[in-house]
Amino acid sequence: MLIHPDDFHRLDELDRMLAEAAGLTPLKPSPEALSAHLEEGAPGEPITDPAVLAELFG
Amino acid sequence: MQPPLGHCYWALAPFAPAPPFRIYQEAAAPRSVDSVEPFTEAARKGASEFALLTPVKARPVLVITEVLPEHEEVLALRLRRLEKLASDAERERVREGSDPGLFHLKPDRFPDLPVENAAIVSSLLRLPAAALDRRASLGALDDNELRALHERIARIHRLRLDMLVLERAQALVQRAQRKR
Repeated sequence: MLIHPDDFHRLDELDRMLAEAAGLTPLKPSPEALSAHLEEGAPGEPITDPAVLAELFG
Repeated sequence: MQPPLGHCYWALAPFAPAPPFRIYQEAAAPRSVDSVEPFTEAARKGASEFALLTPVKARPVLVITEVLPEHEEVLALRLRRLEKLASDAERERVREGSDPGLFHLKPDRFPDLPVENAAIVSSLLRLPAAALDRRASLGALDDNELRALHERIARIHRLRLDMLVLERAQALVQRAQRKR
């Protein structure tokens, strides 16, 4: 199929505009959200004392 | 049992393994490995699976998908107590929905969470359904809140959904043309 260069450019431009319209605007997390992510994603002190574990789980 | 989508449950949630990695050894103390490279070297020699000692935490999570039936898994988000935020102003920003990374869980919709919380939008977890304690929901989002949260997750992770949007737009145009 042959396509006229003018039509090709018009379709190309339309495709670019549609992709731009459909693209999502990225969100940037706030410093508070970044801290929350890091802190809640980092382990603390796990319980490893056998006596405490026996009491908790039998 | 109710579908878990949008509900908060107590769950057993793992932390992502990070160096130093601690490998479980039978009848011996764990072996510590400081980086990922020794694992990839071992994999090249044909030994690729190990049992790591990975910390886990029993915590409330917000489930954001249905249970995928093929895998019996869900995606979920970790929560942040509002009392842990730095200031009253930040707490107010979260309640108003002005912090894109923290999605407020309204206390009246989550009556069984012990304190006021927000879901951390960037903290996606993949959990087996069996890791959720589904005996009791701690509360749930409504459809509109869930839709808004999904949008934020897609945007904060910069997911490329443009082709989906375009397909939907094209389908709508075709339907409108057929109606003419």
